[in-house]
This record gives sequence, C-alpha cells and structure tokens, in this order.
Amino acid sequence: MVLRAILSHYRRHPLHLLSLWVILMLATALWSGVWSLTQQARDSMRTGEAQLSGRQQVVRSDGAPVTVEDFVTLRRQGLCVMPWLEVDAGEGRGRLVGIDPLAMACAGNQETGAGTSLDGEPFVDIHRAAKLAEAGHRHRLRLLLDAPEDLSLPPQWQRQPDPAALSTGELADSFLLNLDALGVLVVLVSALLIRSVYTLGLAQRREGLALLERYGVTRGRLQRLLLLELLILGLSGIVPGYLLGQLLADGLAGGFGEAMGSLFGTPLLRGGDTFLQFGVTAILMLLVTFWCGLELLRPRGKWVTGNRWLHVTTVVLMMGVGGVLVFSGERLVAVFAGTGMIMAATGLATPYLMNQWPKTSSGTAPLGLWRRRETGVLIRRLSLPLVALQLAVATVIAVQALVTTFEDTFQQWLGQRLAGDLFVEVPAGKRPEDVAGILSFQPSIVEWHPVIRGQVRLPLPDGNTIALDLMATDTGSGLIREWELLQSVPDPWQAVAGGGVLINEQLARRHQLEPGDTLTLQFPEHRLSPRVAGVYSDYGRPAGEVLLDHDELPASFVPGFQSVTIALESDATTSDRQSLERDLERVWSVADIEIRDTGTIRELANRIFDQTFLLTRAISLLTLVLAGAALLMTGWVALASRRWYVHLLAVWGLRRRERLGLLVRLGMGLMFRVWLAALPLALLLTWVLVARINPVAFGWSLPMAIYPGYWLQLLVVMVIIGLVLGSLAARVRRGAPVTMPVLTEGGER
Amino acid sequence: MLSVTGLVKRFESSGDTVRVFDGLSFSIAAGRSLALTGPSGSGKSTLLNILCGLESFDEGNVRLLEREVDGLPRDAWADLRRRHIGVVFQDSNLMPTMTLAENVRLRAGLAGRSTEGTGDWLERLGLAGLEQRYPDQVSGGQRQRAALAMVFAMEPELVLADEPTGSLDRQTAHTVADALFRWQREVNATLVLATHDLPLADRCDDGLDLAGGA
Ligand SMILES: Nc1ncnc2c1ncn2[C@@H]1O[C@H](COP(=O)(O)OP(=O)(O)O)[C@@H](O)[C@H]1O
Ligand SMILES: [Mg+2]
Repeated sequence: MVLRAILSHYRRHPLHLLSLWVILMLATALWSGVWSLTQQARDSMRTGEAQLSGRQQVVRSDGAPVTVEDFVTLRRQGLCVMPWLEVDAGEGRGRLVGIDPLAMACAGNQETGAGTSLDGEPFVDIHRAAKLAEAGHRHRLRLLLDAPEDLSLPPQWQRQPDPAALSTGELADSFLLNLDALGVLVVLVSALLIRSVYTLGLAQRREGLALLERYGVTRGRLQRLLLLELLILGLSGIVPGYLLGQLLADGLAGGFGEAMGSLFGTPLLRGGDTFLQFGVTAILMLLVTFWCGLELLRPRGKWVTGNRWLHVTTVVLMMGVGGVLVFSGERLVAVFAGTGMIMAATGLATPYLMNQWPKTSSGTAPLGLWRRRETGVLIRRLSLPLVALQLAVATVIAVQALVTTFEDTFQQWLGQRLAGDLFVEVPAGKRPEDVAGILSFQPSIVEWHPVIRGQVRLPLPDGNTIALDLMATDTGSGLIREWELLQSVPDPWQAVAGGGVLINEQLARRHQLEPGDTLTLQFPEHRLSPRVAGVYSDYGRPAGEVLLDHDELPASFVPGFQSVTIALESDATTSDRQSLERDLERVWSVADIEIRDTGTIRELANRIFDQTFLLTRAISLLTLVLAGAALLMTGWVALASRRWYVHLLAVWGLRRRERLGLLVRLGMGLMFRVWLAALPLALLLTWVLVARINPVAFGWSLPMAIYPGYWLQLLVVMVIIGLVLGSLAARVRRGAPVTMPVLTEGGER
Repeated sequence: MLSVTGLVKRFESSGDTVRVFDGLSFSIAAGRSLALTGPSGSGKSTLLNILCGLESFDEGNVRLLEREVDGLPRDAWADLRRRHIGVVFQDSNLMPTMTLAENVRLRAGLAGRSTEGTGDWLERLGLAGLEQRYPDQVSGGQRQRAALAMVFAMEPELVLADEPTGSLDRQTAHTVADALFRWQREVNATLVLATHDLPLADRCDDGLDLAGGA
C-alpha cells in the first residue's frame, strides 16, 4: 500500500522516471565502455611487454617474410626459436596470438612458464591460431629468439631486435590516462545530473510523503522504502547500461585496436575480467545513485544552507591548491588532480557568479526585471545540471582545441618527416650507398637522401645509460634542411655538417639540454661528444632521438632500419618509377623491393590519427549530449513549476507572442550564461592539456590555438536548447487549469 | 457596461459532457457591483474566466466594455485585460521574485499607466514600509492588499475578483473588502465579485446565485 503510494509519483510523471533511468543507463554505458577499452589496452600492453621483453627475432636475409619452412629448418639445426603467430580474430574482436608452449623456453620465458599465460585468450595454442590463419584471417608469423649474442645463424637468416620488445613507454600510459580522466569526468557529470533530476522529483513528492507520514508511516520506514526504490532504479539502469557499454567498447575496439597497434606496436588483445569490470561499474554507479539519496537522510526541515564564508573559502582554497598542482606538478597525476580541483571549484562558484549578473544589471523595462529575476530562480534550481553542462562544454571545447591543434601540427610534422615523393626500404644486409650511383644519375630524380636508424646509448650523470633513437642522414639534403627547429645555435645546419647533432624536444626536455650543450653518445666500441646544434619538434613519440650526419657514424655502427627518400621531378612518369625500381633491384640484387608513395603513408598516418582521437572526441561529445538532454529535461520540470506565473502574465494581458518572446529570451539567456561561464574554464583546460599534460606525459608541447568558430557552433546548439525550453514553458492553453502554487518562505524566489 | 444573454458552457471531461451554464443571462450597469454566489463547483470561476477571455463559451452573447466579444481574437482579449480588466484571485496574484513595489509598478507599466504613484497605492492600503518586501515576507492579507494596489494602479474599468478574501480570516477579509469597495465607488469602476461569503455578497449592489444553474 505504502509502496504503491510512493510509486504513484512515477505513474503521474513517467517522464521523470524515464529520464532518471536513461541518464543512469547512458552514464553507465559510457563509463563501462571506456573502462573496458582502456583495461583491455592496459592488459594487452602488460602481457605483450612481459612476453617480449628483451627478445630478438629472426628475419630472412633476402627480406622476405619468414615462413613455417624457415621455422622447421632452424629447429632441425637445433636452434631454439619460438613461433609467434598473430591472427586477426575478425569483426573487431582483437588479435589472437598463437604460440608453441613447448618452445616458450626458447624466448626468455623460463621464469614465467608457459602455463599461466596460455590459460586463456589472447594466447592460444599455435594450432588453433594456424587454423584461423588457414581459414583466411589476416595473420603474421614471427620467429623469436633468446639466444646468446655469439650464437651464429646460417647466412640465409639474420637477427634483429624485436620491434615489439621495445617498451611501449609512457606514451601509451598517458594516452590511456587521458581516457581514464575522461571516464571520471563522465561519472562526475552524470552524478550531478542524476542527483539534480532526483532531487527535483523529491521536491515534487514532498507533500505526498508528508501526507504518508501523517497517516502514521514512520520516517525511517519511508527512508528505507525510498532507498529501496533507488536501489531498484539503480540496478535496472546499471545492468542494461553495462551491456550497452560492452557493445560500445566492441564497436570502438576495431578502430581503437588499430590505433593502439600503429601507435604503440601493441595489438589490442581480447579478454579482460568481465566479472571485475561489472562489479566495479555497478558499485560505482550505485554509489552515484545513493549520493542522490543522501538528500533523504537529511534531518527534516530546511536545506542546510552552508556558511557563505565557508563556501567562499572552500572555493578559493580549492582554486589555489588546484592552481599550484597544475602549474608546478611534476607528475601527471598531480596535474590531473589539480585540474579536477579547479573544475570542482568552478562548479561551486558558477551558480553564485551567474546570479550576480542579473542582480547588478539594472534595466528599466518592467518585464526585463521579471526575466532577470526568473533567470535567477532557474539558476538556483538548476545549478547542478547547469554546472554539469558547463563542465561538459568546457571539456568539449578543450578536447576539440587539443585534437585540432595536434592534427594541424602533426600534419606539418608529417610533411617534414615524409618529405619527398618516394620512400624505399633498404633490404636487410644492403646499404643505401650501393645505389648512390644510380640515384644521382637518374634524370627524373631531383634529390635523394638516405635515412639510417638505429640505437645509441646516452650516459647519465648517475652512471646509468639510456637508449636513444638515432637517425643519420645526409644533412646537406635540401629536403632535410626544410625542417623547422624550435631552438638552435646560429647557422645550425653548418654546425651539423661539422659534427654537431640535432635532438628532439623530448630529449631536450627530459635532460635539460639546450643548443650549445655537449652530449655524449656511446656506441658499442666508440664514443662521440658532439655539440647540440638545435632542437626539433617530434610529435607522437615519447622517446628521445638524435639526428646526425651519416658521415659522422662510426664504421662499426649496426643500423636497425635503413631507407632512402627520393624527390622526383614534377613530370616524372610511371615508367620512370618502374625503371628506377628495376635498377634498385639489380644493384641490390634482390627479387622484389617496394617503393612506397609518401602520400599513401601520410594518408595511413592520418587515418590512424583520426582513429586515435575518435574515442576522445566521441566521449566528450556524448558527455555534452548527456548534459544537454538532462538540462532540457530538468529545465522543463523546473519551468513547469513556474507555469502559474506565466499564466499570471497572460491574465495581465501579455499576448501569446510576447510571452513566447519573453520566455525564449529567458531560456536563451540562461544558456548563453552557461556558455560564457564555460569559456574561461575551456581556455584553462586547453592550456593545461597542451602546455602541461602533454609535456609531462609525452615530452612535447603544442602551440596553444583556439577555435572561436567551434565555440560559436556550441553556442548555437546551446541557444537552441534554450529556445526549446522557452517555447515549452510559454505554452498556456486556453481552458487548461493551472494550479496555484503554495507560497512558502523563499520557496518561489 | 456588461451584459450576458443565453450563455451556454460545456466541459468535456472523460467522455462526459458537463453543462456548467445552460442559457445564463444577466447584466450590470457601469459603476455597479455584482456578487456571484453559489457552492463550490457552481461555475463562478468559469464565468469570470469567460468574462476576461481566458475561457471560451459555446453559445450565447457577451457584451462588455462596449464590445461584442463573440469571436474576439485572443490578442484583442489580451489587450483588453492589459488595460481595462483587473483580475484578483484568491491568492498568488504577485510575482514571487519581485517586491511589492516592483509588482505594482510592473502591473501599472503593462497597462500603460504612470508608475510614479505606486508607493501611494501601497501606502493607502496600509502597506507603508513593506514596499521592499517580497510576497513571501508578508502575511496573506497584506499580499491581497498588494494585489488590490496592483489593480488600482492600472486604473481598470472592470474588476473581476474570484474569492479575493477566500483564504483570509474574518477581520482581515473585512479590511480587504473595505478597501476594494471604497476604491470602486471612488473611481466608479464596475465590479464582479465571486464569493461564498454571504455578508460580503450583501455589500454588492446586485447578486447572482449560480446554484443549480441560474
Ligand atoms: N477545464 C475544465 N475541464 C473540465 N471541467 C471543468 C474545467 N474547469 C471547470 N470545470 C468544471 O466546471 C464546474 C465549475 O467549476 P468552477 O468554475 O471552478 O466552480 P467554482 O469556481 O464555482 O467553484 C465544475 O464542475 C468543474 O468541475
Ligand atoms: Mg472557483
């Protein structure tokens, strides 16, 4: 009976129930989807690193991919190699890795043992993976080796560092941390929304509940029943939300996995602890739900209106501490925490600040005054959803600025790195110099230069050494000289030609190196101590890099990867390219070399780039949609409670169009204020992202750019929300009874 | 001033048709007052709503302020209410977000009257010193007097009052009614007052009992 009475509220306001449920479900879906993806990515990287650390792989000297026959031949010769068959499981389900458990010991896994990692996906027995491969799934075979350096391979094969064995490093971590932070923001925003919708409903139910109390239902019993109601509501939203989140994760896994694979060399592996994921999601969202219920446990009576000074002090303190963390935090977590505090403090201060405006501006038009006062009421009643919308708008603006800036900068950088038209990989065991003759005499070639990549070690003051990427090239080449430098000594290219080096921003930041400094490069049997001639920007990677002229390389240097970049005459034809290809194959005496268009590579890079940020963009936009929809719903309820006063305006002789205009202006003005309040926060967030989080996480900073065009787009969206709200509120139907509100102290203003 | 002939008003509610008026006729001359009486549900509010255009009617003829109102567009009705018809409800006649003075000024301003003398009206109604209070900071009787001040300040020719003292105690109701009638005589306005308080109804010049559909 009592339960029926309690639930009758939702029978009268089904929309209210629906909106609570939808917000809860969407929030759960967003959070669990993101969480599941980042968790999968983390697991993949961890397993990948554990499996592969410090190993080498066997490649064929003729440059062709290794086959099962290679494996069989090597094993017959008594060499301990381990097969590693990666198979695409299809439909965005990630990749499976087939391994031979008996051969695990050959690849440095003596201590981990095969059993633990073979128990489940992604690692499966090689026979299972082979079946998939035969069935036409995309696959790649690698042969791994963990043998002492002096073990010699037959001449048809060579050893190479396993590219996947390089640590994925901080970059991947910070990439995931960024996603985590967004996930937390989603939970925060939705908690604000759920609470606001719920408390709004609670206010409407207060009379009914008081009536029940008068009929002798104890307050404790009422509270328990309402908490039960919350629990049921929570679970009924969380379960489908979780499932929806998994669907979302699956849907995004394809692109996300490709991005992870290309950026960090880590395939996205399937799996993850479903039970744990659901548990954490459920607990988190139930906490959010019960946070709403706290309102119920408050002692009866008025709202606890906190001390104003306490409020101001809290805001100032949070701003201060947050500011210090953001400006001088050394660790990423500190910067994130500081940002969170500033956002929270802004959220606390915003309703107050937005309310100051209508008070100070003094118009003379009587209806202007009415509109400003009503705006004040709405700001107070809708403070939670308004703040949620403000945070969402600020985040969306900042993320958009970051992604677009990155995109532009990345384009420029890619243009530098992929100068020229053609890109030729030098086959294993061959040298770029071998083809210098032909390249220099081909009339269709304007310019060319070799690129030799490898590793070198940098001794640190503490006695350790760290690995640096090394890039050696012909620094006299016009293509290279187009590189833009962030800092340099006068005439840097001259300095490089004379034995100096250029370093990337990551290295400069991490070890406080500046142009003019000297650094030591330690080769296996050699040492160089060149001067730093300049610093160049190098996006997308966390690793330090040095660039020097190829003539400076010690003769004993073992290159890891070599290529040749070629710029063609603008009128070069396909047959020029074909004859170039034949010449290169003849001189290097290999069957088939691949000449790649830099344009194709650039396109590929851009696609990967887009996929990398697809998720970030999607989450921030969905948060905005969630916040906008919730504001529309709560705003509607809030305005419905003012219906009598709109009716009074009609009684006082305002025409329909006048009322519509008044309320539409009210709604749009409200949204305009939220937008305006979001801008400073958006600027701060943008700055934090490009100038603080990026350098701390990745070692490179981005120029701060703002995109007012995008701000205006958001403004248009928000103004439309205000317009819809206003026109909904303006509807006074002839003959429809409007109930008079009960005037309680402060309740209506 | 105001005449109603053969008024028919029906409400459709959940399939049933309720006939509130079935051929109602009456009239009042300018400057006089008419009391509408009858038990709850007899149609007092409905009639007042019809007289100010907030409710439509099905048949019959209504003339007021020298106009035939049948088929009068809504905007024309709105203009009439804005300048010529003052309405007082039982409660909630004021905007809660505005002070008493601001409320009076808003109503006078909408009617195109001067907003200079609003303080005088409040003072004359015994609300001196309360001008800067918000509606929830004064008593119910003071609120109703402020509502009267709003109506007086707009200088209407016709006042429709729907149980204006319905939620007040006897003593307060008396002072509010006093103020209303004094002003009505003074400016010679026409008053239609719905009430189920018989002594109050007796103070009007004429009476119309809606019980059982007049
Ligand atoms: N919008 C409406 N829809 C249906 N019935 C209505 C509506 N408004 C009033 N009524 C009915 O009309 C009758 C008269 O109502 P009302 O004018 O409010 O009476 P009074 O003011 O005398 O108490 C009542 O029976 C009421 O139920
Ligand atoms: Mg009534």
